[in-house]
Amino acid sequence: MSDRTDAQDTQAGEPAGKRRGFLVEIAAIVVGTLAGLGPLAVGLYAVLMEPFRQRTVPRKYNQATGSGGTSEDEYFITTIDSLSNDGVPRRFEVIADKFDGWNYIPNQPIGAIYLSKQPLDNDGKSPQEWEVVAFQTTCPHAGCSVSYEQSDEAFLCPCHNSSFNLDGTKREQEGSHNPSPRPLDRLTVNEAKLADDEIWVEFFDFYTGNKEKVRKA
Amino acid sequence: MKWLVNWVDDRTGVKELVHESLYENIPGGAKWRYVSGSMLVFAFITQVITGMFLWMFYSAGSQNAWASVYHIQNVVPGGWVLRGIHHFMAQAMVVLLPVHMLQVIWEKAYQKPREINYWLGLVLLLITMGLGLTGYLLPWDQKGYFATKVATELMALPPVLGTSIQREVVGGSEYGHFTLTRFFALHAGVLPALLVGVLALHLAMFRKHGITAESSEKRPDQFFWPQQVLKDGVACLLLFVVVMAIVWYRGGAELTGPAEPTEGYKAARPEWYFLFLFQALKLFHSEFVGAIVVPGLVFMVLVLMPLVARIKFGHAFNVAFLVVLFVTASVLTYQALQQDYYAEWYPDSTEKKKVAASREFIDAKAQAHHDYERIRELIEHQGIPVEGPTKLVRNDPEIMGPRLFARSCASCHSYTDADGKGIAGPALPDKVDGKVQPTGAPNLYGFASRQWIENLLDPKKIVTTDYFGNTVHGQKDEDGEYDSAGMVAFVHDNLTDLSAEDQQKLKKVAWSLSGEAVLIRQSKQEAVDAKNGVMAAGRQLLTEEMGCTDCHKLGDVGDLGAAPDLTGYGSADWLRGMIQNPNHERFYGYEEDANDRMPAFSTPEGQLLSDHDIEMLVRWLRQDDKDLKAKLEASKAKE
Repeated sequence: MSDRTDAQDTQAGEPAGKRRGFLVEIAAIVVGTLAGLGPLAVGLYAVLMEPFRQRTVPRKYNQATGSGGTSEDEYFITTIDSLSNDGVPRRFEVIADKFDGWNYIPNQPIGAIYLSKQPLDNDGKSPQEWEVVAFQTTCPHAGCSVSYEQSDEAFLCPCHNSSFNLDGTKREQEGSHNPSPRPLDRLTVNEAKLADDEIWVEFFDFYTGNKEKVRKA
Repeated sequence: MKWLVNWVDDRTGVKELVHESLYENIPGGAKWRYVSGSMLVFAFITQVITGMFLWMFYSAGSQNAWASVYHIQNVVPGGWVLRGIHHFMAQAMVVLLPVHMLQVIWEKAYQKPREINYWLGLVLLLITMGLGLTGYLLPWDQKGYFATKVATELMALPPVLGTSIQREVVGGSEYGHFTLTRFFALHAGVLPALLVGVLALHLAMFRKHGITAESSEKRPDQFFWPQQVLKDGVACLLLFVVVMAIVWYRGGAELTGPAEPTEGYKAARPEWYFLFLFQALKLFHSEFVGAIVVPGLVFMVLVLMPLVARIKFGHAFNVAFLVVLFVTASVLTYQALQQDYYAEWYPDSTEKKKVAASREFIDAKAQAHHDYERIRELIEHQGIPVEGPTKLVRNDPEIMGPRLFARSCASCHSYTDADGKGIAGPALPDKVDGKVQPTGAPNLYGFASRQWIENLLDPKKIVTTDYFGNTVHGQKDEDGEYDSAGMVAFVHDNLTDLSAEDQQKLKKVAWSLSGEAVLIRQSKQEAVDAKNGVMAAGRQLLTEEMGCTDCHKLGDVGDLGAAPDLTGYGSADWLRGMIQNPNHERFYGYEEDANDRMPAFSTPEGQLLSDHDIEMLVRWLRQDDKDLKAKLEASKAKE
């Protein structure tokens, strides 16, 4: 720097070395932010994207034709004679292959369902007098696990007092409030397989707390 | 010495720093009621210290988390105290926070110019609640797993982003390793770092504005050091002593059994300080309103308080609002506890529904403790396998047996001891047209034991619901007679009003037959009886004088075709075969309708129970694994 500018700066009240330049300020802010944001961005990318990553089934297990059902989420649960004719629901575990973080675990319980035979009101049109009804055990209110109570003939949730009738509808009891926004989540039973006395159920989880039944991806 | 201090001070300016932090002026002097903030800082520092030490033992991940916490709790020297302090000091923080907040509002320390510092305090409150929530899951036990699951289910409620938020928090669509790694990173890294940052600002701003007090004539100003520091120190020490006392009294923090996602847990509750939110969920028709809108609005009011204070009666409104808020939260907490412990608090209550719901909670809690003790026994017996504690649980007959029995057997059979404790069977038979409809099957508690068979051979007891009273075998026909070819008729005709001598003989018969089961818990007595000839005598009576083998087969004596095989009766092999297929000729296959209603649970045509399930049931019914020490001794004795 020359002596002349030095003098000018001194006149302006600031030493030449301390003169601020608009562009320099902008550059400092941008460079600093970039340096700081770099690691943050990489970290956030990893953490935020991972839950949405496509899971790949290991090759060895990929050979098998999925669950063996007609759709990918259909699982064999039991045979028809395991259900009693009096309509009392029984709890079954759904066994399937499962991902857990870095693990792939074949034949794990991935959830539970209630199965029961319910009488069909069909004016004798069908040769079958009952149908097989399947329910998720997860309470549609807040995701606790309901259990069937013989004495009430109802599915009761141990958390916030939701209760459901045998057909899954909400039970309204005097003196107690049923907070569930919708009936118990019913699952589809494969009719074709039922003819072979086998119960196959399309199983998945639903979001809780909504009026609508929305499947978890 | 002085030279050294000066040397350091010249290079760091430490003297001024110390002076500044210690010689803060307190208008009106040191007071006891100023200690709450320092106590909170102390509580947080305690959490950092104990947390770091816990970290040295903890391992996130669904196979390791519970095991590592179990290790801390039961094996690490003083580990339970360390975990206990961390657990209860967290609760102390949650108690102190509202106290501190009420003080701030009461003293008008949230008003101009301290608004921003008040807001920083609210942020600290949120971070602390976040620490509580994330910490609750880390042990990966039944309680933490299911209580936290409710919280994360609620996160999906907000429209548009809700489901993505939930997925991000859970680390995928389901709970697992990544839920733990995320919660742990939040609990031990992100949230404490945030808290330290915000706390630094909070303290800096507190120093900038000073204590909200006026100097008074009566009491002179004092410096922070040493009067206030002493008071703070005493309060912090007292807090620590109280926390230690609670740790001691409660035996440390609770740990329930390892999380079993498909099993459910009927006593899943959040930590007590979240119970008011839990209870509020029962009240609202829409969960979105109950879990998000209402708490959100309440928090908004808290945020707006410094602004509200500027209008007339604003401050009074704020104080009133806080009082109402705390009273409401207390009432809700009380209600939640009351509903859960109703059966214990009001043992004479006639409110059946309330009692039943509360019983379920209490029983589930007791069962969880029972399971935990059992798992502890298993771990002492064989250690924790590398696959994690769930493997222990799933392979233990004492835990799995009752669950499978309740699901698959209890619609007919009961399993209750002499006091009626255990698993109840179906309701007692209804009388239709004065005739009993059999709805059940024998009580299998102690099946094939000496006592069980002695009672079976008792004419009075064989017709009770514990044996054949609830089956077709125990029903009289139209002439009031039992089936002449049946066991009940035999017992009635031949074993009524026996002489003392015959009763002794019958006992030997029962013991001999029970010997077929090879029950571990009878092995010592049976060895004695084998030596003194009782077993052989009973066997002889069985096959000869008593005529059991006229119908039954026993070893080489008698034939199949008229009654179930007594060879190895009650043994693991016999029970397994019976459960697999009672219609086999070895069991009730001898006659078309000899089998009352028992289904075949595993045949080549179909399986209602897996081989593993049946194995669990068989070993549980035989009580093989009940006493693990005895089992080990028995297997050693065999060798």
